[in-house]
Amino acid sequence: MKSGYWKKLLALVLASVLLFGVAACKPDKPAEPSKEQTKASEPEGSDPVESDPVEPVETAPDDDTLMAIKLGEVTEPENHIANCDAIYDAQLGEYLEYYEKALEEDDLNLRWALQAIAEAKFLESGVILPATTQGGTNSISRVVPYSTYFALWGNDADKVHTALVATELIKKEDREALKAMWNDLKGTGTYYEEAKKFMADKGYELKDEWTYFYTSDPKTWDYLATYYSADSEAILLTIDGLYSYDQEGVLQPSLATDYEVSDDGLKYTFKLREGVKWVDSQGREVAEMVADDFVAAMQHLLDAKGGLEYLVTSAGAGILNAEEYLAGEVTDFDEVGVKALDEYTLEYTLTKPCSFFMSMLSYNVFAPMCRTYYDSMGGVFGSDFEDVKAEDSYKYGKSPDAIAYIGPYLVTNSTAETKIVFEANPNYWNKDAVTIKKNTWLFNDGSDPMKPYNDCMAGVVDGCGLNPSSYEVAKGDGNFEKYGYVSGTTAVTFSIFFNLNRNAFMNSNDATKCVSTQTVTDAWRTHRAINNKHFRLAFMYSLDRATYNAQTVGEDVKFNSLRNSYVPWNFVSLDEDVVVDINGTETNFPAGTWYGEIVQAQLDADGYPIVVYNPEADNGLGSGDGYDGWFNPDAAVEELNIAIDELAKVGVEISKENPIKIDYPYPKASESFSKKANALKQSVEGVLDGKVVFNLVPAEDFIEWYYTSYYAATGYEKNYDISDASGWGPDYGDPATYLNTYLPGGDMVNGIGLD
Amino acid sequence: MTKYILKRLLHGIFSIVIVILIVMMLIFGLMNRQLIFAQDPVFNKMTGNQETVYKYNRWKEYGYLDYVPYAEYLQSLLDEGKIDENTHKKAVKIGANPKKDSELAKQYIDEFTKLYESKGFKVIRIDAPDTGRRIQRSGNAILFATRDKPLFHRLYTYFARLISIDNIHYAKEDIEDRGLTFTWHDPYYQDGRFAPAVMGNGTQYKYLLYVNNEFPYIHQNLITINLGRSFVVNRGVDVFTTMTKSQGTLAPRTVTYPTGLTERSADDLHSATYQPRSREASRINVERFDDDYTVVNTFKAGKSKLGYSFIIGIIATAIAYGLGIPIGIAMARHKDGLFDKISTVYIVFIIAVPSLAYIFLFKALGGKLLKLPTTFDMDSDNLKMYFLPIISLALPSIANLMKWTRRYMIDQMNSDYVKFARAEGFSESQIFRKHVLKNAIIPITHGIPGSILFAMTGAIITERVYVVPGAGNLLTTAINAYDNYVIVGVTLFYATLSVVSLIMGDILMSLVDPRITYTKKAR
Repeated sequence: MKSGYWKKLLALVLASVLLFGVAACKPDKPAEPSKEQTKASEPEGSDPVESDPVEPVETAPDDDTLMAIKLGEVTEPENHIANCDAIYDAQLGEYLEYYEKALEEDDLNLRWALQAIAEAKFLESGVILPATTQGGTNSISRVVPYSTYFALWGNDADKVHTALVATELIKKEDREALKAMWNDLKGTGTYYEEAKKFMADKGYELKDEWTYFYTSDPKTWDYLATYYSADSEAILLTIDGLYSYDQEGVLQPSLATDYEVSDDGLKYTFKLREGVKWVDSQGREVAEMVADDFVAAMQHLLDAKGGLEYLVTSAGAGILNAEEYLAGEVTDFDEVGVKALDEYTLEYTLTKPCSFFMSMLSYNVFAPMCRTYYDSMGGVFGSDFEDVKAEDSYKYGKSPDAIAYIGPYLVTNSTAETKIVFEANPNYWNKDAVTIKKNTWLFNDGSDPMKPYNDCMAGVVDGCGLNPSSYEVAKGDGNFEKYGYVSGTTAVTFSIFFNLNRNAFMNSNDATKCVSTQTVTDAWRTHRAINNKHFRLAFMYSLDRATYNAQTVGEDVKFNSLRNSYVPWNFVSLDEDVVVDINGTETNFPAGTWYGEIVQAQLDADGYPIVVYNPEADNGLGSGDGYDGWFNPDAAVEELNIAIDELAKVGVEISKENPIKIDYPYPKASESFSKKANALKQSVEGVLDGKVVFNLVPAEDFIEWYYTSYYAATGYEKNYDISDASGWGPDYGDPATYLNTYLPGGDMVNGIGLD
Repeated sequence: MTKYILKRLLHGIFSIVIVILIVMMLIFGLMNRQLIFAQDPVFNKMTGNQETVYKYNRWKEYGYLDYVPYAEYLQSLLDEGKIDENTHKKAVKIGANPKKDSELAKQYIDEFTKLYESKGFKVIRIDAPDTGRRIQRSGNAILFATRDKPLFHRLYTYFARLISIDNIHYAKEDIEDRGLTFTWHDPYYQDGRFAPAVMGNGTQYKYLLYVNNEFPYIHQNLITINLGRSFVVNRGVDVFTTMTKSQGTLAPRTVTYPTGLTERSADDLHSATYQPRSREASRINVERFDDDYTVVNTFKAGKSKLGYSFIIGIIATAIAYGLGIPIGIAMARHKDGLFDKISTVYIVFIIAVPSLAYIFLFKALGGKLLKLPTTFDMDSDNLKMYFLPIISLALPSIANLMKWTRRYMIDQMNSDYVKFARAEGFSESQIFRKHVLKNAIIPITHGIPGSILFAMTGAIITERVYVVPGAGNLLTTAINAYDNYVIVGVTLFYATLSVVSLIMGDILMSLVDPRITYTKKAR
């Protein structure tokens, strides 16, 4: 009897504790915004679903104290974190819902289509605006387009050995014909031969040497111990992967001849090519390639910790126990998921099925390393590596004479800041495919802007990009008219993004730097405005990115490197016909449809005036880059008017006299960054008629500027309302490599202020 | 005199140490360490605890600090046999936060903390991110000890390993017949020709002393200078090696290996170093070598960085002195005459125009009008390619020497003894030759050793414009890349050159001018 009584009492106490706990965890509501408010995060504390009609109208806090002063030096991150989940759900919930559907899909083509739809939802949220990419420069060249390998990720695109290089510059119309031909033939496996025929018909002669400029020397020749692109671009000419993409972007066997995937998708077994030879820099045979060389390579990669090892951990391919080995929790390498079953059979074991595993094989991190050669150069494995690598006896990778070669080229000369010479490897397994017998890199530090053009015309190098001064000359002497083209864009996307949950109003490392001029009232209003989708879209539509881009690349090419979608439009294309549901309509996308086309279909169906794929762009070949598909003053004003109505309901009045202030830090020491900042300011304030103030926050130098965003590790520390200090490049051949970054906990989520 | 020089040398060494101390303080203490991540694409891809681990790993690599993860500590215990595999496996797993640690882990974490805190390390533990929310980061808890390397310890270790001397106990493995042998007939030359060599067994290098037909004919591997190991620019390679090793295309010649195999190869057998068990490890080595001295450098067709810089620099210096001083004298001689005026215009031009501008001007003029090669091509035998870099270096030096020679001469011409000589009835040319010139040239001689030695450091802009693979760019490249020990090493190199050239300048001055003496007795 007595014990039952105590149990009831205990249950009551526990229940009340639970209730109080729930109540305590619930985000605070600033029901009475008043002078008593001291906690910085309270303005952000409210429920961010602004469009909710039952939301009571609030009144803005009447407080002219600067946020920076109000915050003092210490605030509690917990308060900040408490409402991040809710903000994410309110602003990116739709994207997440669609994207999760895509992730559940096993069929690769259907998955890509669903990802494209999810991206459309993501772009429609207006949280980020894809801005620019690299490339897109005016160029002239003797190299046939698409005669080298094609892939927007991995290292294959930098391989040169199959290039078709003419003795004369290729004429504009011929280049365009070749590009159109590639567009038609892509996936048939015939483009390369057709291009050769085309060149012969047009009277071009092909040569077996290719020379171009480079700007940065390799720092090491150990391809498993580096992340620098300058290193891998040179080194990858000396090695080969299991599989690689061909000129049409189709995966072809290379060092492997065949592969199998287990039914559960966890084991990949490769049959290796037999009789492939490792040689040294003088072409002498070192050993024959065996499956164990891939095991040695993986262990060396994880020992050396050069930076790219994350590609094989759960952030990338997810090799079994790779992360544990890196952390020192597993010390026996036999437990890591890479095994030589016999001399020519290699098996990778993954922690979870990975649909894009094959697309990662073109990375250096999956290349083999000759174990015997490594041993003979003083190399060791495991925990001893840390000690040995600092010794003089460890020679591996310190010069091109201290590595073993298995690729198309041997390095015969590598002189820092002068030249690098690659000569064809006579023992290369696929030497018949090598058209370029000698690839020469000449150093150019860019101090003479006319040098690339002059040397290209003189035949010293076989192609060059045109800078503003050489562009003028090339236009003047008619060569641009005759040969000019716009180079392709890269896969890196730089974007402009909002901070949805701002907490920092000065730099986290130094409270006197990049101090915001917003008052408590301003910050309260800005926060609410940024959490309104229509406000965000109005803002994004009002940004004139071309003028912004012109400040760094020049007026002539300002459109070329504009990017309109987060995932590049041509990142993947469908291998087979796919039918997906777009707003209730079953829509068929035929094989060969680009990713960007599907994103565009969803955007059109939803009625957004955003263009991420234009079939007329790039001379009618169709493109998602190279024009501004977002800037739209009419739509911006329209969206702003909706936002003003909606925000009025939650107590935020917006007018010319009482505008929303959006902080944008920029490094004022840099002329081009200052001009870019001002270009954005002018377009926003012009289009939105001063109802939104683009508030420039000057940082003295790049370091201060980096501390507002790039160096600020958490969303809690991000000191801006809007920023452009971040870009993203792909790690593997699936749009997930981009879209995952905005999943909850993704790499970019702290950039939008959420932890 | 000897005593004076010794004293000066001591002072010099002391100043060098101070300079290195200051440079180390600047690099490792005062610079913002986050800067190394500014251009780092991997950093961009890291979040949370993963980012912290990445940052500390990089800082350790760049030499800023000591960093010992808990797992590494346990691994060392395992290696020393203090714990067994099983204990290691259990102890290495730390909980998401301290409360979740197993008893065993707790015990070793305590030991780890105590050990490293007693060594002056700071032990940092960062919990795994909390779960149960929508936005959650993956990542495990991390535990590590770290400390900034103490400055004087850093300085001591740097100088302690600056010079290393090869010895027969270098090889740690069991080796028969450890020792040095001297031979009159170097086995490298199969014909048994007269070529003395000192060879070692158990040493790092096989040949400690040998002769060949390349400058300076006698070579040694006994003493190695370690100025500072690069991490960024040339990973793992000492900057002294970077400066002195030959560059360019592989230059094969007929080589006979110890096994008797003869082939065309660029292997330089004189550079063979010891690598334990390397002979068996590789097919190439088994066929060619009969011991574990298998790792060799390769012959290259070009010169070293220092070599190119020195050749261009020294010729430019010779031209500068050869032209600058006579023209300066002539200017002083015909002060305010037409020649003086024209020459002054030239001097003003060189001083007023930025060096980059006139180097480009010379390049354009030389390339267009004289058809000289404007790019230095190390694979070509065309000596004309040296012309423009040398001229670009010499022309400003000439102007400088003209300016100072003229000035010193005119100074002297106004002094009392010249007036006295004139009054005595000496002719102007006699006064010039016998009195004015001798006195005016004294300060000029002081700079000669410096000009010669600093020819080695190379010229930054000239070398970049003409793409000369010289040593001029080493320091700027290292600074841009935060290659910290290279910065220290090159600074040491420059500082040493300065000290030596100042001392030599003083000595030279005392030789030219008998009135200057450094011995007490003579005063």
